Amino acid sequence: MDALSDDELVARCKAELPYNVNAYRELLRRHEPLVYRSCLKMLGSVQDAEEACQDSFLQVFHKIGQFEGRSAFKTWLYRIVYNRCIETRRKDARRNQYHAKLKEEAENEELSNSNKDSHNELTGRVHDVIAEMNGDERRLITLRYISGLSIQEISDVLEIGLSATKMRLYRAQERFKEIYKDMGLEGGIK
Amino acid sequence: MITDAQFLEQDAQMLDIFKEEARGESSTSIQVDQISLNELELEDLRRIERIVERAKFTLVVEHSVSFLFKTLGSGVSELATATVGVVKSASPKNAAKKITDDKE
Repeated sequence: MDALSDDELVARCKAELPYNVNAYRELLRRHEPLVYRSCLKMLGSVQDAEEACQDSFLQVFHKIGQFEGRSAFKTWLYRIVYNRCIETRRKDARRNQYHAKLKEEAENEELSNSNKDSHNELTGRVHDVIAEMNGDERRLITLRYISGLSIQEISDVLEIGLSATKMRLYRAQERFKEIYKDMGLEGGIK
Repeated sequence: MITDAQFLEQDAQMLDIFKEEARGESSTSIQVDQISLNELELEDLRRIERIVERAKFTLVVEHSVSFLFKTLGSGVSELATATVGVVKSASPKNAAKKITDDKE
């Protein structure tokens, strides 16, 4: 299985799922850890990240038959992951709006606790900077520097043009630099 | 408007920062390049197994629900046919016809 390419594994999944999950499991072994870490950076919570990651791969399980191979499997996968993370953020926003007045004080306390918890997994200067960014910037930075997608792949995931992708990523980089400097972490950035 | 050179320079700086950060974290965590299978942590493997199990479970649920609906569907359709049959045979028109037939 190790020697097979993603495309070959996808072909096997199409032929063998749901009766044989070996090819699917291999795709998971290859991509899940990075997808999980990307979700973690995009969502900032271990629980949300695991849920988003699980849902994304379940979608792959059920929809791989519909994947036509017009893009690379990785691009298709990250499009699912990206959309799933946006959906989680929207739900969070709605939930927060609804509960905002009722539990303002309790929320502050909870947030500080959850930050302490999540720091067990989300450590490092980069995480602190990403946590300060808005959703869109955070997702772009994550796709490029955590998931390791090329600019072309990001453009395919976002379904926008290459120059628009560069522009948006450039703005996100600028914002990253700004926060990075504000935190007094100027080393490596001009 | 940004030039390609400006973009690439900034991109390279960012890549350096993230690579440095990845080096600073445990050897098995975040990497910009693909993760080696040998470096999969136990927790990664557990998560993967949970996904596989959940995928199988959703499939079983899906099949069970579809079987239930098929069974219910055919049951309801048979019941409907039977009801229509009973209603038809019990209608006054049919009753009158039956009486006539009997007299004849």
